[in-house]
This record gives sequence, C-alpha cells and structure tokens, in this order.
Amino acid sequence: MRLKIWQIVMVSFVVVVLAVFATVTPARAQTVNAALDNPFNTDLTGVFEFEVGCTVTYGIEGGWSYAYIYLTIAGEQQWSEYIEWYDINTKYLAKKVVAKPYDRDITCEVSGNIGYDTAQGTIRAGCDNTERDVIAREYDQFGVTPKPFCGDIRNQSPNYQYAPHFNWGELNGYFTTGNPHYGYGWIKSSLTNGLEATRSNYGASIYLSSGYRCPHGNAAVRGVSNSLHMQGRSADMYNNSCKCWTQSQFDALRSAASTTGTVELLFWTSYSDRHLHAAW
Amino acid sequence: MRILLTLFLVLLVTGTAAAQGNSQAALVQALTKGVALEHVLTEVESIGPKRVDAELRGALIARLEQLNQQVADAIKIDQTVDTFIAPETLAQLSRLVADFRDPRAVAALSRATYGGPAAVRALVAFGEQTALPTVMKVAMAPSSHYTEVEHVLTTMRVLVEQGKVSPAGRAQIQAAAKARLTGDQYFTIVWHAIDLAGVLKDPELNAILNDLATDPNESVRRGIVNDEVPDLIVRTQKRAADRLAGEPPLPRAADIMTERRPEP
Repeated sequence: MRLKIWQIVMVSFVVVVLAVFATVTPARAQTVNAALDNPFNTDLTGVFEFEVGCTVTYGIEGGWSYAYIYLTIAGEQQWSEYIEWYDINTKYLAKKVVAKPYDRDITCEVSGNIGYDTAQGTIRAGCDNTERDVIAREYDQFGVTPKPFCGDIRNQSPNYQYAPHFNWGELNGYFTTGNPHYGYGWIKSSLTNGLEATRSNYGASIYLSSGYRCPHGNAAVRGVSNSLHMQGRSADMYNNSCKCWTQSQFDALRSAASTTGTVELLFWTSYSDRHLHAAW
Repeated sequence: MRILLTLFLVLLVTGTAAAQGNSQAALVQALTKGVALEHVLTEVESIGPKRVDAELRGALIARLEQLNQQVADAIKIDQTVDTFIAPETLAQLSRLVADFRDPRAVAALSRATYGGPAAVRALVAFGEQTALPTVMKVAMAPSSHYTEVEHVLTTMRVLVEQGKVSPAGRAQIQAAAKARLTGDQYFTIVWHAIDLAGVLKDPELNAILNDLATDPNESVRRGIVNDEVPDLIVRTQKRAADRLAGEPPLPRAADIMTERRPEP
C-alpha cells in the first residue's frame, strides 16, 4: 500500500505535535505510599484486640489511577480494597485484629497501575505482662524453636506437687541459673511421665539437677543451642543430692530410664560431672 | 502462553532445586571446615531429612562414624565426651542420620547409642540382609562398649519381634544372646540379653533364663554382685522370671517402631 503525500504530512504533523507536547509538558507527579500507623513495632503486652491502621497515599496529579490495598497479618490476608480515583489522594483503612502472642508480622501493600509500595511491621503482643513475656521474648532473642504459647508457661510455687513424685521447683532446676524466672516454667507431660516411669522402674527417689531451662539460662549454663531442656523435655539426674555416685549406680538408673521411651539417653562418660541426661 | 507458563515453572523448579543444592553443598563445606556441628544440624533439620541430598547425607554419616570412634577412644582413657563435643549434639546427629534411612549409615547407627529408639528403628527398617551382619559384629566383639552391646541386642530383639528374620538370621541372633548370657558380663548387657532370649523362646536359652531366675549364684557367676547397687541380683532374677513368664520386654517393639512426637 502506498501512502499519499497528504497522509504522510498528516502523520508527521501528529508525531511532531506529540513530541513537542511531551517535551514541554512537565511529568505529572505520582505518589505511591503505604504506611502503617502505631502501634507497630511497639510492645503491646496485655492487649489482645486493637485497631490496625494503614494509610495509603496514591495517585497521579491530574490523572486517574487505580490500585488494590492489602493487609496481611502473619501471612494471612485480612482484607483487601480496590481504589480508583482522580489525582493524588490519601485513604486510611483500619481493622480490628486480635493480637495472638507472640510477634505477628503485619504487611500493608498498595499495588496498582502506577506502582507498588509496602509497609511492614510487627505486633509485639504479650501474654500478661509477667515473666511469661520475658521467657517468650528469649525464644525470639536466641532463635529457639518451637517456642511456647502463653498457656504453656505455668506459674506455680516451687513446692507445688506437679507430678506424683516431682515438685515444680525440681522440674525447673530450683529456679537457679538454668531458669531464673522464679515460679515460671514450661514442662511437657512427656517429661513428667518419663520421670515417673523411670522412678517406678528404679524403685527409689531421683534427684534432678536440671530440668526446664529458659533460652537465656540454657546459654548461661553453656547448654547446646537447640537443647531439649528448652522444650521442657529433658532432665539431668542423679540418685542423690550430693551428686556422687558410681558407674554401676548410674547404669542402674539409666537402665530404668531406657525402658520408658526416651529420645535421648546418655552414658557414664558423657559429662564431666557424671549426670544422667535423658529426654522424652 | 501455555508454553511460556510451562517454561517459567520449569525454570522456577530447577532454580529452587539448584539453590537448595548449593546450600547443601555449603553445609558439606561447613562440616569439613569445622563449623560448629550444632549449627549445621539446625540448618539440616530445617531442610528436612527427606530432602537432604546424598552428598550431605554421606558427610553427616561420616561425621557420626568419626564421632563414634572418638567416643570409643575417649572411653578407653576415661575422657568424657563433653570435652570434645556436646553429648546432646551427638544424640541429635544420630537421630538425624537415623531419619535419613540411608543404608550407608548401618555401621554408624550400630554404634550410635545416644539417641533413644531412632537408631534402632532405622536398623530394623533396613532389615536383616542390610543390618544384621554389622549388628552381629558389634554384639560379638569383645571390644564393644557395653552401651553398644545393649543397643544392638535391643535391635536384634525388635527384629525378632517384628518377624523380620530368616531361620539363619535367627540362629545367629540366638548365638549372640547365648554369648552375652555366658561368662563375665556387665549387668546391663545381661539384662538386655535376657530380654532378647525372652522373645527367641529357644529351649537352650530358656534353660539359661530359668537358671538365672532361680539361682542367685548364676548372676554372681556372670559378675553381677550386690555391691554398689544393693538389689542387682534380685532385679536380674526378676527380669529372667518375667521373660520366662512371657511378659514382653520394655520398651515394646511397637513403641520403638512408632515415631512419636511429644505431647504439648
């Protein structure tokens, strides 16, 4: 197909006009911004329901734009909203959420025809503003998983008879270096069941030199970074409080424990202080 | 469009696999460069035992074998394990290696006495052909530590209880039980051999159990005395009597073979 002269002139004119317009006209301002309001990244100990706010500023000066806004909490999308408007506008969106212990990541995203922005924060919700929260934080601080839920961390008097033959203090290392959070600890039923079965097989009392350790306490006693002591599943044992025993006495207790479904059961030459370490 | 999508998915999958392969190669390097084993184990556990590649599995199995030998050497000079590695880390390594279900781990797991039932479970899963020859060697070797002997006697007991042995294999196991019920033995070895004999139900072994159950001197003849532990002989007699009466030994084979997660 051959173009006629007047058609070529017309097309050239339009191209030149557009080029001049594009050069002379300043670029329109665009804004894409998502921001989370308080109380992100602050401690919310004791608060269980509160409002999450996200402010989105978005648009083209003198032009139309559209976008989706998403709010995600701990990986689950809470709500989304479609916006379509002229010029640059600001929208504040809020939603009541329940802060479930412990830290929950929050993300607010805006994504549309002129761009994308995201704001991230963390709800630091706690249990009840007690040692529970201090212990829970230690799991984050030391990167220990799994970490306990609020209800897992119990508060009892050290003399409280938690299992038929083991009181709360014994199971928590008497709240000394390994777990200095007096009264608070995390003990799994597998530990108390295993200890009771071991004691029954052994036919005599057992002295516990270490039980539950909080992550900080575990580090203080130079425990391994993923020790089952921090899961309330391990105990270190002797047959008496003087921690003085012989290899055959040690092995009699080890043998009693070996029939109870242990997942860790170490031997006489494992530790310099000759304690019997077991985990269930 | 469909072709483009397929191409994208293929690139994504191969890219992910390559990235994972690189990270596993880095962990092999970390093992050889002396990075703390507990940190490597944490990384490997996050990958998941089933997704660990052959090279990294091999490196961890080799490390377990090396540590087993180091432990054996330390025991000979009464050096404690915590002077060169955290014993809990050793237990964690043996559990992890057991979860690989890699037959190359048979020798290492036959001597891995630290991790509870996981190693036994793996050895039993390998079966008679793969596991029994190595297990027998540990059971019969005079140099084996008593905890190793206990461990392989339990493994053989579970193999028998699970019905996973041929007549020839059973004969070998009976020989091992008899050997460990004869002569001077550490009391925990005798106790585990009693448990093994109890499930074999062999007339000759039953006669030995009967002797042990009824005559305290039979325990003394094997070196078991009421010295530091006052009731060792009575306990030995009771164990033999219980097995003769058909009471199954603990932990039960079914419990060992079932991987259980602790209750919350």
